[in-house]
Amino acid sequence: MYNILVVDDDKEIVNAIEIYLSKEGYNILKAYNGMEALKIVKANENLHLILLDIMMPKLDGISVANLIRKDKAIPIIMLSAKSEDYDKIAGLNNGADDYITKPFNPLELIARVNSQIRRYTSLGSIADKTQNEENTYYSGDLFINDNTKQVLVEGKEVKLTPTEYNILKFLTKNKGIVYSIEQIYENVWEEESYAAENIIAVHIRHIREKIEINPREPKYLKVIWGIGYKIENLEEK
Amino acid sequence: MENLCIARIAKNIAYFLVPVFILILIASIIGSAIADTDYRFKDADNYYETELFSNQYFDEIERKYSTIGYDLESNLIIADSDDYQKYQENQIETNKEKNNIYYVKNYNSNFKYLIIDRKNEVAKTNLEHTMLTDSIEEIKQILKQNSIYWNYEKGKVDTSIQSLSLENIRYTYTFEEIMNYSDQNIDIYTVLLNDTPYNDDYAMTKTIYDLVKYIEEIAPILIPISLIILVILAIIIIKGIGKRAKQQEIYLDTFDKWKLEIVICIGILLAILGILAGLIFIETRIKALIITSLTVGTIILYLDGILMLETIVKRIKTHTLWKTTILYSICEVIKKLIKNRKITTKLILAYGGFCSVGFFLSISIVNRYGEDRILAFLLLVTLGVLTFVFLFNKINEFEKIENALKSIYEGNTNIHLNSNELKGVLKQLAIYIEDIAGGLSNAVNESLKSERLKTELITNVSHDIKTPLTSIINYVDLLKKEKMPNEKAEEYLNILDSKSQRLKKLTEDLVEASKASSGNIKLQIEKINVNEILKQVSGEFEDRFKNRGLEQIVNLPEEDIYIEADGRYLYRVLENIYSNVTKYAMENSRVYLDVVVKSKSVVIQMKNISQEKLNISAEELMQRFVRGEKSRNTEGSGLGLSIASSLTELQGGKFHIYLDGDLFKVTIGFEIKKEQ
Repeated sequence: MYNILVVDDDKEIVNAIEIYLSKEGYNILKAYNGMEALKIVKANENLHLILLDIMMPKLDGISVANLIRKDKAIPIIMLSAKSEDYDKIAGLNNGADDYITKPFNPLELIARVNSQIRRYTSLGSIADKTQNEENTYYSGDLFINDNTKQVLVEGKEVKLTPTEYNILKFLTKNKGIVYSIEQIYENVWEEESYAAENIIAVHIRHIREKIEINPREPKYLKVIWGIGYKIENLEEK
Repeated sequence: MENLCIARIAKNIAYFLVPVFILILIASIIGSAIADTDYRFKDADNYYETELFSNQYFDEIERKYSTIGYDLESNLIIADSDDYQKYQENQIETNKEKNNIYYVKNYNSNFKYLIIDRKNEVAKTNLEHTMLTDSIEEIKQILKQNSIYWNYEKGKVDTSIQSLSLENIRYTYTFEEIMNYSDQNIDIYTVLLNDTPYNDDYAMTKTIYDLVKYIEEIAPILIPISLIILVILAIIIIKGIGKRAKQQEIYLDTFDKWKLEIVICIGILLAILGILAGLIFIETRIKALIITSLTVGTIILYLDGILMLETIVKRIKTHTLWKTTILYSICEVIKKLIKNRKITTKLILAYGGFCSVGFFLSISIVNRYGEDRILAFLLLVTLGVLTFVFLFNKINEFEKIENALKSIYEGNTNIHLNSNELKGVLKQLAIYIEDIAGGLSNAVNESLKSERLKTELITNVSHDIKTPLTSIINYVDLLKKEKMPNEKAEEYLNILDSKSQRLKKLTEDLVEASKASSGNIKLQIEKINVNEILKQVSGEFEDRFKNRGLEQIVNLPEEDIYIEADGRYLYRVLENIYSNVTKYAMENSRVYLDVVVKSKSVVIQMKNISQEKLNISAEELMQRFVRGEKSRNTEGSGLGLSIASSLTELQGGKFHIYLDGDLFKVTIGFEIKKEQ
């Protein structure tokens, strides 16, 4: 049983989140402002995740995250109506591991919570195993084992078609490098691109839908509009 | 504050010191001038060697001798008319009983003499009659104590004065007589008393001589020093003029506001008065009167000078020297008379002036001869050149104004016309234009500011809407998982679900639309491959197109085309257009995507057939919250095309919508970025 602290000054939102996450089997602790949140974090050694609103009375979420990060490594997901880029950057720079904007899709919230919990609790061992083997590729929590043709995202296996698998393998192998549609075609099909049109783009979209929690805001497979695609070079945490 | 007070006191002290140093300066200059130019002072180490002295001394000897005569009754030698007068008044003592020495009671002279008539055995002297002077020898002894002497004894001259020795002496009639008399036993002993104890002509001349010599010696130092001091005093005075304690500004009294010409007249009148007062008694030869009147005159002149200096310096300091003249007032009146006329009147006046001057000059060229003719010709040429320069300057000014107007027309309201550099009519014009530009610039800034405020407001409001919206969406979602009592409830819940989703989309789009239209977005301009991004976007929408049975006909150029844009926002533009197509294109129809390459630009075209009838204009379609069909049942906020248009223009592109029946066409134009 994992313990999740939900902090928001809007009680209805806290209650709704409680309903969703309880169904997933999590134990929920509730706080309605920053000070309460800090008290609960101090009192409970056995916390696994914090969902934190930013705009709250008494102490705002950014400060709370900052204070918690001083001595704790608990995953923090920011939950805010502020959706500007600089709001997200401020949140992530101040100790948050993820940022969800309101109004959020409950399924996305659950997926992100599960992902963080998995990472925090059990992922380390898988990472160590896979990393050292031959013919395996990774970026952050995305693992590809070319021996078994398996793709793992945050510990969960993802089913891909052979073409999708080949494209993802090629990009992960060369993570961090941007490839145009033409280059991807030439490298994966190993033949001259001949008006590849949008086949690659369609595949990429399918891959994103399978490996990303929110395909519109991908974490691993990034679209560089007008230039190409790349797998983000994420370090093992 | 303290400084001002000091400046004023310093100025007043300086006023007293100025005359002192002027006197010193004048004395030095006159003294050294005399020493340098007067021949009687030249080539001598002291007074007794000067020609001045020797002449005076020799004249005295001659006078004493030439007027010599006898009073037969007393057998007394009468030396001169002065002596005779004194004799008459019983001022001559006789000591006949003893040695026949006559003492002239005339002690006030440094020139002492003893004249001896050996034949008649009488002697005369102007030495004081004392116990010591009872015999001729004793008198001689006393006379010998003096270093300046001239003696004539038995036809021989013995003297300490170089220029009066027998070889050098000026040969005069009297001296010839003396030489002749020597046979008659006349001896003359003369001396000038050491240190000239009496205040006679010799003493005075010696004092003057010494003074002049002294002045000549110190003049090289005195003149520059007093000049420097005078300059310093002048600076102190000029600085101090008009300053008052506890007042920063230059103080002007009523006199300083009088017309300058009147003030100058008063000054001249006062100066004349001073000169008259100084010279009024010069003819009377009464020393006291002359000195008094000279002093009064000088003081009047000096005070007059101070008065004039003060008022002129004050006027210069307050920049009112020119403005307080009568001439200025006249000019102003003329200016006003011209100023309020129409430009045409001014032109006629100027042209009339030009013509008449030119006419008279031309006539004089014809009528005059010689130099006058050349002069008139030169004047005519000057007139022509001046007119050209004037017109040239005006054209320059006009050009400046034209440039300013052009820059305003091009949208740059930040112009600098420097209306002070312009003159006359054009100056007024420049001021108007500057005002208009300022107003425009303010209006632009205001509207930018209000756009920014609007964006801020919309952002804040949308943030406030999002929080309750979160609860609505979540609880609707939770409700959907519950069992509904009947079908109607289920239907209502679905409506709630779709409307809350639309509200969410609407708030997001609203913020984006307001940011895009106010330009409140930071762009990261990169080189973008048009083919690449179009392939990427059509790949993104492939599935959605298929769902609605839309067939995409893509027509891309074979070569890669590059433009400069922000990839993320260009994607937003294309995404909006594509999602527009998926929403509004007729099912199972074809959608055409063409890229038209022109010499300098590239145009992306998207054509589709609308599902509904488009009873609306292209312009209206681009406005916020307007959608192609009247009923608003379909999803979407109606902001998509507005956002796409704003974002395209922000990136320097051109966005157009064409409607032709049910044909809906969007074009996006960008400049091609050439490979380097």
